[in-house]
Amino acid sequence: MKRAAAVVVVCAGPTDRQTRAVLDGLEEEGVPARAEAAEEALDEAVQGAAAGGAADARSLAGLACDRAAFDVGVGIAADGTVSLRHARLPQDHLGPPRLLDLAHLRRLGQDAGRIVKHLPLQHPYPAPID
Amino acid sequence: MTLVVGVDIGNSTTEACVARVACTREAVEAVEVLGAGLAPTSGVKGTSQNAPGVQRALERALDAAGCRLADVAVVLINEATPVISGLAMETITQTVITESTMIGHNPSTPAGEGLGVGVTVDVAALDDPQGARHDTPVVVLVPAEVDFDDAAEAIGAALTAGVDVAAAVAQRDDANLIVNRLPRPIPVVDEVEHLDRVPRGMWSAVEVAAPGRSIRTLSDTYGIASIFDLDPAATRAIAPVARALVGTRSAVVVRTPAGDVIERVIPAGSLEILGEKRIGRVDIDEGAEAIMAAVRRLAPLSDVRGDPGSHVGGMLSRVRSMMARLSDQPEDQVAIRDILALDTFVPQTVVGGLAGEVSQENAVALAAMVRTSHGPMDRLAQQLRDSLGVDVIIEGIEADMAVLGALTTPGTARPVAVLDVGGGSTDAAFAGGAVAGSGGGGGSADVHTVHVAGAGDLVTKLIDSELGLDDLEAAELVKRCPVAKAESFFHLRLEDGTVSFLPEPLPAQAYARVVCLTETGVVPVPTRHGVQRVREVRRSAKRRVFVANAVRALEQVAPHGNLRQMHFVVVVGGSALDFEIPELIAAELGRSGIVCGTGNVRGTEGPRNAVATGLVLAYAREQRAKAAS
Repeated sequence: MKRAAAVVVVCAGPTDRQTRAVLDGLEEEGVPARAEAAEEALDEAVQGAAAGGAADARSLAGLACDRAAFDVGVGIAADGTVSLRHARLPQDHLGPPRLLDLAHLRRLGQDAGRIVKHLPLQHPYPAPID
Repeated sequence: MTLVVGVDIGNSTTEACVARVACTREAVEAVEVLGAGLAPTSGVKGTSQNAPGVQRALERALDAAGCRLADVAVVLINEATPVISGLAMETITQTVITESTMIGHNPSTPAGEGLGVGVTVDVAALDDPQGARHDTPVVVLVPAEVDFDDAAEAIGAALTAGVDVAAAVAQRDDANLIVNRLPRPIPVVDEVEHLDRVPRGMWSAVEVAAPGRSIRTLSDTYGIASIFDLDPAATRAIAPVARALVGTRSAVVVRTPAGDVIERVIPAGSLEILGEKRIGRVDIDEGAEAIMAAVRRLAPLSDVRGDPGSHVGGMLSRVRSMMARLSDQPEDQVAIRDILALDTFVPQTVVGGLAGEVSQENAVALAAMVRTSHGPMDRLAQQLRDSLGVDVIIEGIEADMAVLGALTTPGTARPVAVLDVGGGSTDAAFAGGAVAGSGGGGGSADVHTVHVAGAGDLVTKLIDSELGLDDLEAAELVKRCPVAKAESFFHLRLEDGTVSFLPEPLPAQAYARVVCLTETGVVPVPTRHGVQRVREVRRSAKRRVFVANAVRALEQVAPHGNLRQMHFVVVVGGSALDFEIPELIAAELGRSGIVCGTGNVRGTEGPRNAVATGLVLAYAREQRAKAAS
């Protein structure tokens, strides 16, 4: 059996580079993760659970965290907007959907991993001094 | 019946107490307190800048009492303790890395595992046939501009071609990404900020421990000596490096001809302590204990000076000029009447470090207390008289008033010592014996008082520097509130181990952090230290300042300097409201068999309002004495 993905990234459309950057962040944190195409994830999802099949970043992230072992998911919409969500938290609690450059997408991936690892987030809070 | 208001101007808070005083001879219950109020002190205490603060406290007390200013017959203000205090802190050691050893660098995600020894080579030089020598193992350096994919490919190709790549050092947070793409894992340390400072072509060792473990070889002097084949003299020189690496998960040591870590002692200078009878001199290097022993020996002090040009000279002149500015006196007339010296430490960036490493440097903190002139009090009284349109009397000495007020705490009796713990200084007053009859006018003849430097502000400063917060507001919160760890978005583990569940999920910036439990919610503390460490630093700072000062001050007012001669100690003042300072003091004094507790002025006010209440009581007693004669 495949190792369970603690974090799932669901992406729509041609967003390979963005998805790659988020997965790199998760890999550096050592957190098992998996990327899924939106169509696949939607097909498998229970009818109605995925906000009527809308493909905006927020609902893709909602879909992603429902499919992740540790309730943390990232959604990337076809236009590149990205959203990080936790299944038990209100939407946008971890920040609204936004457009990020590749370096920040990697950071977002790291933060997704850090939520699973119970470590403080680097973003948006400034890096801790020590 | 007369309506009077007692007003106490403290370093940080101004308190007022409104009371009805009966002037008849028969009245036993002569004083009826109607209300109390407080406001932040405006300006330096004892100066005419205090007027707005006095007015605000007065208005609040009158509101609470349901009275009007027009009905007030007299406002009583205390002869404010003419002391103000200042703080200074100076590091006395400095860690310098003369060449390229990395100490105290602990990236959160190093990769691979084990020890790799080789000659440093740039990743770009790996495919250069001259660069990568096939006969010696290499340690690859990966600068930030090289993508991890390219770096992994180059290292992988070299490994396949038969180059013995022993380890790698990366500038960015890429260690796991590189190692996961290699044909076989090698130890990689990342987040080395100044990778350009690592010399190329030098023997070096990289060690990464398994998760949950710390390194074994590079943290051992003989381990390093074996790797680099060092002679006894060089081994001696490398010992501090090994010591500095103990407990880390990863490390890099580069062998350079003169590589060394030095803990340099900064010449801090010496203090000249002028006692009223004798003069003494102590080197700052001798530490706080030696300084305090000299202060005890030479007390009472008339002034303290530092060598000009030395660190301590600079510290004292900063305090002096600050005090001169605050008290409106020429600098040469500012005399330091007490100091509290404390050993502390300050996290500082290591000079010559490669990854912005931080080391704990020793430091000395000094709180100094300065006497101010009495002059401005009369000016303040006149100003209040004009602005309030009410008679204003300077009623009595602060300490006497504090004793009178503190004695309204249920269960107390003379002989009593009152410990007033505030923001800037700690004051003690001792009143012996029973007061005789109604005379005595406050009984100041047998009240001994002392003021010592150091209180709440110094605790804040210690917490700020020892936790490396660099944020006095955050340090103030840490001082005032218990801390907890945000273990999830939905629950907190408090410092005593209990769990508290939250009605609303925590904001992302508080997640997994140490947070302060303030009255208005949780506030994250900007530190990487754990809950227990934060708690330890907080309590130790309070113990070193408040407990040390309580003992120091009480010893000076106790009969024959013997604490055991005191039966009751009542702790009052703003810092007595703290959630642990009174218990820390009580625990220490309890060992001498003293009954010590937090004041509860008039049985209702807690440790607040002692002096304001004392002022009203003293006035009533005077009126009664007048009526009797």
